[in-house]
Amino acid sequence: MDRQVPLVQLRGVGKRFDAGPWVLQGLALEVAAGEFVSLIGPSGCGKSTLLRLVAALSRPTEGEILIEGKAPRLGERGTVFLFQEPTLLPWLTVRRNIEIPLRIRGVGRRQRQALVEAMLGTVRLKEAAGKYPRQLSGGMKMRASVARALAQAPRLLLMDEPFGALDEMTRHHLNEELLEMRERAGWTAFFVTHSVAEAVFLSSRILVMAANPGRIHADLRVDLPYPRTADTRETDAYLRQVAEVTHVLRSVEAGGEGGVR
Amino acid sequence: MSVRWRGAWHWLLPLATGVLFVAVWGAATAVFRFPSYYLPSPLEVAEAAWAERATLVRAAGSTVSGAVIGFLCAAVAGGLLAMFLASSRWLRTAFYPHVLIVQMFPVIILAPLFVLWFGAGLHSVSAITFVIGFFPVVANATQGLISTDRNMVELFRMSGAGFWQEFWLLRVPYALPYYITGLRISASLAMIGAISGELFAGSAAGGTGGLGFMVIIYNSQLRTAEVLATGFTACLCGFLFVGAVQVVGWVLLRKWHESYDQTE
Repeated sequence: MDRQVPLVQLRGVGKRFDAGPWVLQGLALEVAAGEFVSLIGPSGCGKSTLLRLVAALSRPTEGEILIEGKAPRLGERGTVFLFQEPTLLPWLTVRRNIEIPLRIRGVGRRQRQALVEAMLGTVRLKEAAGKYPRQLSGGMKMRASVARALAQAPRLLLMDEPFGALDEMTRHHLNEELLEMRERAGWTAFFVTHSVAEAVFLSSRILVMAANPGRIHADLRVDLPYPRTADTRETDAYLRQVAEVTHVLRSVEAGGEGGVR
Repeated sequence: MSVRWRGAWHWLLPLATGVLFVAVWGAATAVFRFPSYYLPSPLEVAEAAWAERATLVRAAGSTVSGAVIGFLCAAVAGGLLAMFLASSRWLRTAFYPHVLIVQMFPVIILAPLFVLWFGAGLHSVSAITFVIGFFPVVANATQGLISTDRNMVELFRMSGAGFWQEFWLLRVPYALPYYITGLRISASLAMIGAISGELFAGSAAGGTGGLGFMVIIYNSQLRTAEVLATGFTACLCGFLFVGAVQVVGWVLLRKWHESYDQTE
């Protein structure tokens, strides 16, 4: 892969809240455009904190974060965050929910409508476009949330365990759809998850994190070709990768020292 | 069928207990032979209501005017003050205690002052209603404006929203159900506010005084049946008033708010 200018760079990044203990310390990382990076690790290892730092929702206490060589600013175009909950505005229909970030950005009405219609088709929510969030199932709500994120044409998509609350089959479907959409749009992804299987299925790279303080314990490549489909989950290569990542994760949880780089 | 019956029971059961209550009241007046100035029978109250219907309707119109004016002022001023208070933590710290003082200040003490400032009649009655109904609106709306879902706020900030976009497109609609709750409480207090206002600041100038004013007159003549008829008239107006606010809430929230879910 061409790695001239990394899209995201972390240099000695550390984070603590007030005078509390260090949540993250000494993070160094380079992510090239087009990578799909999953963050996995025990609770409290700072996965979500790291995501929020990259989103500029929070500032690092030490070190620096660069996106295309510049410090990220909150509200900048190109970086989009997908929350753990669907975070749909209950008083707006699905269509208006997908539209709202575009409206905030001042995208013209015509263009807005075209983008929203296209996204509704992509996430298969055309029928539900006029419904309110409370009328939707959990999976449909998350689809609407994904559509809202992707309608903004992200360059960098930051996802904080977006499918964690869904049942396994729905999660599988959404994982497959997410990869399909990525094939077409080609954004770079940071994806926080607790599921090794999900991380392996989606990612080109997995960062296994350790806690106290949060740090990168292992930086693993996933050698499975894209496009990946439901069948990928039944291949030996996939199962082997799942076993490998699980092993590394277990060593972290057992308090193993020293990372695999 | 069972659903329909359950629906019917919702009406029949309170109706039956109401009939029972009136029957017990009627029986008590018959058995104990209370003089009618002490406790009139339900029939005497109904007769008094019918005989005084013109006066009661006019008085109710006057009271409802005071209640509506005071309530609308409370709704608008309460909403605006809530926006002001919600805009900064410092403003809340500086001003919220004073809003509480206005709420705690006994209206009985304010009433003569209002009469002094605005004269007896509609102005003073509306002002008293306003003071009574103001606080629930401010308290609820402020709470709604400051408790916006954190993720939603971050979604807006990540989308590059400015202060006013965040305020109008997110905080205000998010606070709407809280505001409506404040209006409901305020509406239920409005009739009480207007009638208490009339007890202190009512005036028959320019026609009939309001229900509160009529109570003073009927009471001074020991016309207890008329006093009770006035009370029931006020009760009916209160129900209509709160009902109207409920309808407004229903129109604004029914499509999206959980409190209007079809399931019981």
